[in-house]
Amino acid sequence: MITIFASPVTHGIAAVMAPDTLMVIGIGILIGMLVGAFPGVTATMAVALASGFTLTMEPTQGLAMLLTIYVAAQFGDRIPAILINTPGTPASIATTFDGYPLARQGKAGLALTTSALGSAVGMICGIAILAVAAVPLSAFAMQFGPAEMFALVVFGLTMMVGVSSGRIFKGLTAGAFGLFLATLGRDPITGDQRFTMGILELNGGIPFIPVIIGFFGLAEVINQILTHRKGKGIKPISQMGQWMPDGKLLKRLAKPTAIGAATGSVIGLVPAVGGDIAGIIGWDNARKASKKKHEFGKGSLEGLTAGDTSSTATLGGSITTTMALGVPGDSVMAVMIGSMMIWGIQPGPGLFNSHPDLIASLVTILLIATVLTLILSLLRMKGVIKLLELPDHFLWVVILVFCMVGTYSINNSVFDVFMMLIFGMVGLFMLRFGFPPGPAVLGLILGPLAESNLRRALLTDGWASIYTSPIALVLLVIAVAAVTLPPLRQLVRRRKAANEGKKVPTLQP
Amino acid sequence: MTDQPSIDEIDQDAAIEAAHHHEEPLVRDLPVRLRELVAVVTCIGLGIWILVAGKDIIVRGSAELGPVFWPNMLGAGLILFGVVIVLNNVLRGVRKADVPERITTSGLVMFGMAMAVAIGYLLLWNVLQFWIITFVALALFTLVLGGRSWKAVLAFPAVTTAVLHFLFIVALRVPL
Repeated sequence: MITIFASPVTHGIAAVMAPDTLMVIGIGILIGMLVGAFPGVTATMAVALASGFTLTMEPTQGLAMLLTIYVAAQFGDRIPAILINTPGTPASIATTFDGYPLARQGKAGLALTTSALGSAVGMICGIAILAVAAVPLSAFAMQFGPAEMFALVVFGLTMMVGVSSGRIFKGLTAGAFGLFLATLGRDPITGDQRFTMGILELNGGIPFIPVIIGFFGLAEVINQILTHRKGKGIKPISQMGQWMPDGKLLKRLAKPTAIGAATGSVIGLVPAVGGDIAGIIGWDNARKASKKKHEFGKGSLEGLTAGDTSSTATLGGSITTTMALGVPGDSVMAVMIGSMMIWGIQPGPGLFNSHPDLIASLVTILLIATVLTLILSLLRMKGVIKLLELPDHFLWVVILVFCMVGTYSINNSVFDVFMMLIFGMVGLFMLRFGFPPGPAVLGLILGPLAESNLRRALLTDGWASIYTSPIALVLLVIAVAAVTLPPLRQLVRRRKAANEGKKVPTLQP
Repeated sequence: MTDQPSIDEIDQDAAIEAAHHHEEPLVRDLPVRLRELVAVVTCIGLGIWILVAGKDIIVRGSAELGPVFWPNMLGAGLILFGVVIVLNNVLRGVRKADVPERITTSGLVMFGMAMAVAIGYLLLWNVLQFWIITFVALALFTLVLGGRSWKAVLAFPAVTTAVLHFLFIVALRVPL
């Protein structure tokens, strides 16, 4: 009995069940639901802003807050998608396909309820994947040496770039820029100063939380301010109709739910593919398998459920690859890696060896957050409609001030706030000129790991240490394929279409 | 990590095409393509700067795999990507999703004033007490971003300042 109670599993669960951690989870749910419900505030932005004030917390509490915001935002973002045809976060794009038409038919209540149930099922499937796959994947990755670790970082970066469809070259540029930012400060091997321009504060390198808050918080809000037009808002639908689905409907929704869960679970394990893509593919898969294809896109509860289940099922997979490999599953996880490193937790191979109780803590946090958020989502939240009518300036002001105060609170440094403002402008430039900020943040976080491992591998056995390692080779081949196959595939398709005499438009990888 | 799509208008077919990595036609208007030159110049300029500034790094011991090796690789990579962007975006065209929403004059004015308030807030950060300067900054931010009623300019800043005070000073013990 004693050994059971002293196991890392019980230890991990007990850490989450502490009253203060549960309180943090409760606060995280409220913040996440609000974040999701406000269009224009993405989960990435919310987690980036929250990282400003969670760094002073205990790691378990901080993780609980960030993960709970992420989970709750996945539920909250369905509300504006259904009521005003605007996804609260990109993950609920597929929700708009059927959610808004359902709301216009007077079935908003039913759409909100089935969406919440589908999201919860997807979330639980994802959590099951995390519980089952994380430790074996981490154990496998423990065999990695410098060559494999370098290949893993390249793999993570290119996967992130590869899914930025249509932006491969700008994604690669953003990744290289992030890797360069990581070189500022002291060399990770020799300790020599690089590119500090005589600024004392840069000796320790660029602080990545201000960069993350600048890229994902300030840049986004400034872009919204710059492009603001009066009278752009849509009045939310307030006719809710029936709320709870009956048994017959629930039975009919079982198949699309299963399709969505399977699609999202598989897609979630591919690093860097987020819930937005999974939701759309899950919706499309359910349409192909449905007997009522014609209803999809016009107010199908099947389509709504499949999309929502699929997009939330990715969460478990993305946390799995983040924790076990150190390769973030999506943008939120990239931000979370930054916070974890400040707490002294290095995601990647070896994480579950050094923190054996972490997996149980993560699963418990996610389960509690899912159940509580589902309960909150099933309450008839007519008050939310009022929130959707709030003018934009309130949200902008809160985000601006949170960016500044949150950044200051990390090191009590005004210099960090200036850095955040500067990187907010850099992020704005990237946003306006089509450079995805995700690969840049990933490059900044993983840069020292990539550089030191490459140099160590080369010092040991030259380039042979990389091409003689089967694991490194496989990872690098997949990485190269991720950035070269989409353009090549398009080229082949165009050739084929041209040969068949079809007129083909100019396309871009 | 996926790109942030425009959340105002969702084109169902375009979204499905993009999710499946299918191709989409390009915008080939000259001004749109020429605008891409700004990205190219930034890219190549940064790459050259890295290569030049890398020469100032004091290298102790072997230079071959020393502190300059990795930045030089990245600088060269940025120049190469800049050239590829010329071939891909400037010569061929830009995806519709990559043409950003137009900046409005009122947006530009709001941005300029908000930045002025932000810098003033930061300069007075350690001079005045947190709650006083935050209340004033919040009221000014709300005013320049479009809030006009007494609720927006007085009540909202007061409540937000109280929340920030409680969260950062009382709960998280940040010395503000």
